[in-house]
Amino acid sequence: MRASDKAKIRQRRIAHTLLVVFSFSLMFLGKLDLNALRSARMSMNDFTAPFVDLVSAPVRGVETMVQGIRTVASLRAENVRLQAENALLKRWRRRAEILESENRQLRSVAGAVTPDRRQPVTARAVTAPGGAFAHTVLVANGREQGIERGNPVVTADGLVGLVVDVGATYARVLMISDINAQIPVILSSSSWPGVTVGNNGTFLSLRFLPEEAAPKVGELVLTSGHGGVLPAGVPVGRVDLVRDDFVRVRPAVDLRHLSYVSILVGGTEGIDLDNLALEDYYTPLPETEGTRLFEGVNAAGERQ
Amino acid sequence: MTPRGRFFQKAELDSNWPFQFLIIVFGVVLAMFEGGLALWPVFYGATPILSLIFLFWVALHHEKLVFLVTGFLIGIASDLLFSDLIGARATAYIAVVFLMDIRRAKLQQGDFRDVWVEFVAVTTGVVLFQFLVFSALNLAIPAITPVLFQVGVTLILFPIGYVILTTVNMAFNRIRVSS
Repeated sequence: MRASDKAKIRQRRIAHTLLVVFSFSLMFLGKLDLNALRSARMSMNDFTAPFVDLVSAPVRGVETMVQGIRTVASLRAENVRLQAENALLKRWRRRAEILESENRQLRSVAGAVTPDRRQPVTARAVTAPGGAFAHTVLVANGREQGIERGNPVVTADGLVGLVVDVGATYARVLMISDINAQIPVILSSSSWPGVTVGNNGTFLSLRFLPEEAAPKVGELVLTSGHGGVLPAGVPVGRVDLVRDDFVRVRPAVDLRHLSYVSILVGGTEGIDLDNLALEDYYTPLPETEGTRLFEGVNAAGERQ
Repeated sequence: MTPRGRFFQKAELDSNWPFQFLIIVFGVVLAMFEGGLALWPVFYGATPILSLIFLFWVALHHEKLVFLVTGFLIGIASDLLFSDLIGARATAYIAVVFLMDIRRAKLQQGDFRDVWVEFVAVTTGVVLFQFLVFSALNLAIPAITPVLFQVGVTLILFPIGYVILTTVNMAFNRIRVSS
């Protein structure tokens, strides 16, 4: 081997090593959650999202076609099911009207705080979680449409997640199934508080439940509104499995079929969303309170 | 006598730069397509790593077209678009390119089974590296099933991808020869 070849190989190896060191350090920089890196990433997403959308078009086309074929095949069965569901919904509507009236009366007695006014902004989901290491989704609405970091993202079925990064025209949503998503919730029938934690899989786990809590399979899990970032009463999921101390929750929203979502804009005034310290966000519950409705409770545990 | 050969060489046309650039662009497009595949409920949360199949094939058969930063750029594009860990896949892809530099000669002499076995090791290594770094930085272990599904689907799709890439390559070569 010639000396020049040896030198070339040495140079290439040094470059390789430097590149490895550089990209390895990027991982730690990324975890530091620096503002500069976050905005660089969102600028990159703003630039590439239309291309991703374009590249995904064939997949979306095939998916629509498959769904169309499936719909036609199951039209008769679907009609029977919808009729039954319609009858059930009518009964539920009557019941809801009665409950709404009862709820209004109870609120006036308990002095509960009315939920903040939040404006829904509809956005199309451009991507879906493609890897096992992050459950985030890009939506085609951003700063220009008034989206802010911390805005809740919902569908008619329930909570999808939270906006974590905002670009000019696109925003990144951290889904409730992500390992970093921890949602303060209550059990609907017993009102016991807890926190749902994702694991980058299909289900969530319900943690930090009080010892007295006895969650039942099928019980609805709702956001508690604790901390003020998320509105109270948005369905997160239903208890799917209870085994000793482990409680599994199936998300209310079928996260695999997201096409359009609603971003709830506003209602987070006065909350420093860029510096959500864990101890502020998960304030211990006020023990003196006779109610477990947390909406309107500030970081100090006082009603606003 | 003045050497005149160099005036007749197709120096500009033989440059690898355009192809190296195209390889990077195609790899990034594949990474985007991976994200698009996640829109299919079947691949929700665990799409096949098509960009790895492509990178492996190019590094094996067209080493001159693999630029030093090819793996890095394809990986970082994938990280920025779909991952929580910026740089994890990029690091793994650089390692793949480096590994292929060492293993290329042996693999080119072997049959397809050897190549597939090597790809199994490479895919497992890439995903395992991401898994370990992710777990260490987040102090939590993600669900294993999607990880295994992703590896499995990628390994199953490798022969198909390999054949498609080889066929396209042969077609390109034919066009180049005839023109």
